[in-house]
Amino acid sequence: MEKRKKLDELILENQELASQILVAHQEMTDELIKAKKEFSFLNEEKEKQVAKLISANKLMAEQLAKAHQELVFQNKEKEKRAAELIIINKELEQFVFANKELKQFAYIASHELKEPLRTIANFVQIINEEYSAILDEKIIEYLRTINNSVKRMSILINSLLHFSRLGINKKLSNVDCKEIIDSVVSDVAVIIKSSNATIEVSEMPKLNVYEIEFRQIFQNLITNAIKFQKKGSLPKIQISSEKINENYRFSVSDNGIGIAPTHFDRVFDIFQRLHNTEEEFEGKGIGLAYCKKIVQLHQGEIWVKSELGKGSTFYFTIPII
Amino acid sequence: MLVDDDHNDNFFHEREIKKTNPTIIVIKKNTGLEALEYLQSKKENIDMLPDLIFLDINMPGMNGWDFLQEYERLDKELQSRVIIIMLTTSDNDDDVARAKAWSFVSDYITKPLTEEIMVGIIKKYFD
Repeated sequence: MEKRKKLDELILENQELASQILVAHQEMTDELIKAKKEFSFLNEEKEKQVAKLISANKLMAEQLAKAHQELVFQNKEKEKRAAELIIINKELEQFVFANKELKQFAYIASHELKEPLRTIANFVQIINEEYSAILDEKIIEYLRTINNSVKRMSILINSLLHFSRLGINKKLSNVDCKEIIDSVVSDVAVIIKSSNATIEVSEMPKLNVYEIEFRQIFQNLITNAIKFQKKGSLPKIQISSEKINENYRFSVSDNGIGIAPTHFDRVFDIFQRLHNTEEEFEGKGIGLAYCKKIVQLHQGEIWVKSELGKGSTFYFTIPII
Repeated sequence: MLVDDDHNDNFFHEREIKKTNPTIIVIKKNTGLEALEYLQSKKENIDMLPDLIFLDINMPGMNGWDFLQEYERLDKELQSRVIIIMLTTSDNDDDVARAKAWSFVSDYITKPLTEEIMVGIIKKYFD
């Protein structure tokens, strides 16, 4: 009997368990269905995102390809430009070399020319000293002519020598242009006094220049302005400066004999003298060539405006550096 | 002693030197090497050394600079007896500075040597 009761209880217990399992199963199935639904929704979202990503990727790839092409093109351009630069550099090198050679040539040539010239002068001196008793007037006159030519040639050679060495060892320094002009004026005080010249100097800047060379510009322009003067008139010289963009433009004006327009360029060439009679206007024909070279050394420009019989104005620019 | 390859210059300079005093003995050498050999030959007889050397720079073979380099290696006693003056065509500042760098170079003159310059030298170094 007892066994039967226990069995019944077990059966009951079993039934309850079974029904609990069923419920649990149902719930789980529901959950599963729900999860499955959600999952498929997520999947859809993901697929959409993937599609978006793919299209974004494609766009990027296209852009990349384009950029790459652009880069290749730019590279080619750069290579081309680099090749061009190499050529330009080579040309520049050759130019610098040629310039150096030329300078060296001018230096050596003028140096070598000095020696035979000195021998001529020395032996003219010996003839004069040892044979003065037997020299007639004509020979003495001829010897004097030889001597004068030797002297002139010696001046020319020295000028050439100086010219070829101009700007070597140049040093940039900050100078007060007014002080420079004042010191030039005091240097040429003797000729200023003897010619009764008046010099007016307007306001001047402070600039970075090659001082010794820069000073020479004013020295040459001022002495020229005094030298090339009309007979009977007093030299009036005006020196002024004006800032124009990145440059200072200086001008030196005189009321002298003036220059014909056809000679405006030629006056700056070496050994070009417009006046043949040495007695009238003594000179070597080198002062303005110096000026031009010095101005060019500063990367500036020089030019002249003038009217015959009325006077000249020399202009030059010095960049502000 | 005149050390110069230019015979005309030697001729003229000797003449100018003798104007100041005709008894001065002028020895002429045409290269640095000849001058050096002459100095070395007087090693045992230093009274025969020249009192004054006029030295040109630009000479074939051993030039003035080379000569100075060799001269520096000579006996100090020999050096102490001789005055060296550069006598050259060059008035280049670089050359002047280079010459002055040698302690035993006394002066630097550009050609030609004249009677007047010679008088000054005698006054400065031999009076």
